[in-house]
Amino acid sequence: MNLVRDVAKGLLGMFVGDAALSSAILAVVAGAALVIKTEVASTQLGGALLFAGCLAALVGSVFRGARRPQRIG
Amino acid sequence: MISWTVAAPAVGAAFAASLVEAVEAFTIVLAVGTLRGWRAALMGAMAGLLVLALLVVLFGPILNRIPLHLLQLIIGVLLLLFGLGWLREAVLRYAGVIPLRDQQAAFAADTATLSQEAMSRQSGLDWIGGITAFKAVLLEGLEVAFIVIAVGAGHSLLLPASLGALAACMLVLAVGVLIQRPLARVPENTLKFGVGIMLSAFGVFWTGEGLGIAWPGGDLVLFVFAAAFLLVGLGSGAVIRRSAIWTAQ
Repeated sequence: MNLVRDVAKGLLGMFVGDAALSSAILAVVAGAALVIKTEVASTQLGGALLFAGCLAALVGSVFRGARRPQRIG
Repeated sequence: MISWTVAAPAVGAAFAASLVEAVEAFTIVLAVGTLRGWRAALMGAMAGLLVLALLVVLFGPILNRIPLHLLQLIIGVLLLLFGLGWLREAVLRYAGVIPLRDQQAAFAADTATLSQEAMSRQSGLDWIGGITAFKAVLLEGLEVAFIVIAVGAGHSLLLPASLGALAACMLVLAVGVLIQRPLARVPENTLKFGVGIMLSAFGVFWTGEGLGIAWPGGDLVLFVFAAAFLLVGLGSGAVIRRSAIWTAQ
């Protein structure tokens, strides 16, 4: 069972290397989807929100990562 | 008709990402082969490839049953999670926060771990070596398969992306067999930086398409996304490097 557990852990690690970054990305996508689906603003604005949100999530995660000790994978 | 504005980044991303993954898998298989002979290493690697092929054959056809917008949304979000994760790690390595990956050191560490495990367990090193090679090939192979599907499925580019990945794997295998040493000269972080940028750009593009956004400029907006991720990645890394120098002074 160790093998299955290791493979499952490896698969999860592919998408959730940093939990805070993954949460931020999902929040950005949910926000953009909400703006588009509720027609609060144009789809173009939703797209801009998605793009800018992803850039912001990256910058936030990188600077947070630089401030704390790293686990090297 | 294949649009090269999407096909070129897709094939490039599949090739570069597969190069990184194949080098990592090769280092582990080489450690197993060097420590215990090639029988265990090759058996483990072949078993890993077999399971990988079975998974692709089993789950591949499911992709055709998912509506295109939903498929683009699912793959887009997974690409964002995967690509931005790679980009984050590459920026932190570029900034000097995380040491650059050294294939020689990774090879030495893998060899030491295998020896320790063999000493602490009753089972033979052949078995442990085979399982280690199997896991390496399966896990790195799954990443390659995901990248190929992710960059290829949205625009019917599975075949060109697969060929890009296959070319990278064959290249690593050919060079590896020739020199029989870890491929330490592959600029792994530069490749990861580039692939992270491309996967993140594809991630934004397909998540948006999945949500019903008609991007201005169509496929060409991919290059705008890639340029922005490149600038933000390099800029963040440079700021962290500079602030580390100031702190040290």
